[in-house]
Amino acid sequence: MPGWDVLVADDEPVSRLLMSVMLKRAGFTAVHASDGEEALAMLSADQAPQLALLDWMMPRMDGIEVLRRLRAIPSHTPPYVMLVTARDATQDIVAGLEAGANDYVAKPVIEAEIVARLAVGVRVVELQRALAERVRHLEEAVRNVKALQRLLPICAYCKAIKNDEHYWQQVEGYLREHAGLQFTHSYCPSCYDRHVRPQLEGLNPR
Amino acid sequence: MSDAPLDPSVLDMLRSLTSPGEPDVLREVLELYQKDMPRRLAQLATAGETGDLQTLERTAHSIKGSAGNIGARALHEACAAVEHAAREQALEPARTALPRLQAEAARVDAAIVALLQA
Repeated sequence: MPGWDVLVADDEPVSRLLMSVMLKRAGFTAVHASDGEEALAMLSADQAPQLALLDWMMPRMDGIEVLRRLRAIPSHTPPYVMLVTARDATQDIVAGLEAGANDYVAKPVIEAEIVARLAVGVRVVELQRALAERVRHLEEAVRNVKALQRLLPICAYCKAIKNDEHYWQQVEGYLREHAGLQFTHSYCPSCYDRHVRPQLEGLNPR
Repeated sequence: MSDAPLDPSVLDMLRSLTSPGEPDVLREVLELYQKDMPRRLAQLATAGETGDLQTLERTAHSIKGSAGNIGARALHEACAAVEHAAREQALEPARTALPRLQAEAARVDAAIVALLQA
């Protein structure tokens, strides 16, 4: 998975090293945090990694609290977070998922498993991104439709439209920008008689 | 084989993680483990003496994680015993479980030294 950063948040250096090696072999880039506060700061920053392996028991803030705070931040593209922990009792798994983990992996981690689960994360993040992009397009379309629904000031003679910036704009340009319409220029029969024919006759007297 | 301080199948798994042209993962992992252990064992001993249950639980948990990663099963179990007792606020059982943890840590250390010299 080239190009994907994965946050590895664990206070235990051997685990960090092992997970980083496994990630690198699968083409991911590992970035590290060694306590919960650092992990939360990195996951809520701009350009944050979209995938994370989060240890449960960490100094300063445990993984569960990191998840709770992270999930309280509204986002169209929240990171995919896997809780990685030796705590594997059923009630721990339930508590982890309820706090907002996308997945749960038992320690010690197994390379094939962690890579396969991260591939699921990649699919989820890509789906989220595609949906967020679709929503953005739809919101833009709705804004344009709303702009067309209001009363448009139009010149009674040349038919120019006064746009949102109060400039007079050719009707074609205005509709192209706001409704994505394409125009092909031609002339109607009465304009042909009034404008085109006299010009043609002017070129060719007699 | 279950008596070996380090599970051979875990060591093989760690060996298999080395990619061509990259550093030996098994060696890197064992060296990192060795480097970090004295500090954590000292922390554990102090916490046992002062009765600091939270540090006992956290440090035993942390060593347990490292032990699991290198296949040190007996050490892993000894850590789990200390961690569990400390979490239950049972200071005396936690203290009683410490010598076994320390003995297992020493066995693991000897096995690592032998492995790294081989």
